Amino acid sequence: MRKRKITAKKVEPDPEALLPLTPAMFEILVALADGERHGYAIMQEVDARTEGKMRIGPGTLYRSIQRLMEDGLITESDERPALEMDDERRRYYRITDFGYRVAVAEARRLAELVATAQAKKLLPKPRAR
Amino acid sequence: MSRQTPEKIVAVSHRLYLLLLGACRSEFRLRFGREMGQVFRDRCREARRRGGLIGLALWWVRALSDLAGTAVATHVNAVEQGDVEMKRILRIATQGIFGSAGILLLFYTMVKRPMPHWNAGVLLCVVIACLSVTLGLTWAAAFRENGRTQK
Repeated sequence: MRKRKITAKKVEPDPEALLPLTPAMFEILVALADGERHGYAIMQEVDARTEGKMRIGPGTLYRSIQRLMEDGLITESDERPALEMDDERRRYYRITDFGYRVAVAEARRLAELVATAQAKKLLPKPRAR
Repeated sequence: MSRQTPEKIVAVSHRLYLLLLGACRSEFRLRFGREMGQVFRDRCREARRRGGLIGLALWWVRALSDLAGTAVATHVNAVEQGDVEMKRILRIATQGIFGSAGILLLFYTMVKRPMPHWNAGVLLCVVIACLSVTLGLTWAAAFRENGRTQK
């Protein structure tokens, strides 16, 4: 009898399974999409990008970070920034590949929602350039 | 106001915030408490610089409501994730509330101020419901405990 070789196939988690993300979680992923940041820098980035409309408190920020880390969307970074910019007391976070895919899936979901809102004339359609 | 005063206010605010973090679940606090404190302190400095004492007070209001939500959420998470100790505490608290409500209602309706027939009947139903919940919880806990020891 021939023996079958059984190899464990790594199951890729489905990014769609984690949707929809909370606004705070999505904002954090967007903030980390272009580089690693520490908590306060994430807060400042969100604040500046949304012009103060979305303000995340320390509790919400770290609760979301905890959840994102548990789901494998972000991870604590081992790399430190340049010495003159580094603050040893701070922890830096970076987005994982899976986190990036989840962020893309969430962005697509929101874009579809916006398209539906435009179709129902809740939003004006963007002008063609 | 001396130059050191704003920094002192920020330092006191920071210490107070770290104390208030005690309301959060210990695992969460141990993991993120120090970072939350740093973020809070940095924001305090920024709020003080931008809006003076009023700015700082407004930031405190926001931070407090955020902290209250976080404290509740960390405990609820612990229950959802099957923290046995937390479940036990919740069960005892529920038993206590329902049990004492039942006994007090019984005392009030039967002894302190006897009510007209129909009213007393309604209250008696509430009392029975309260006591049933208490007994039900006790029985369920004992049943589960029994099952666990038999395994």
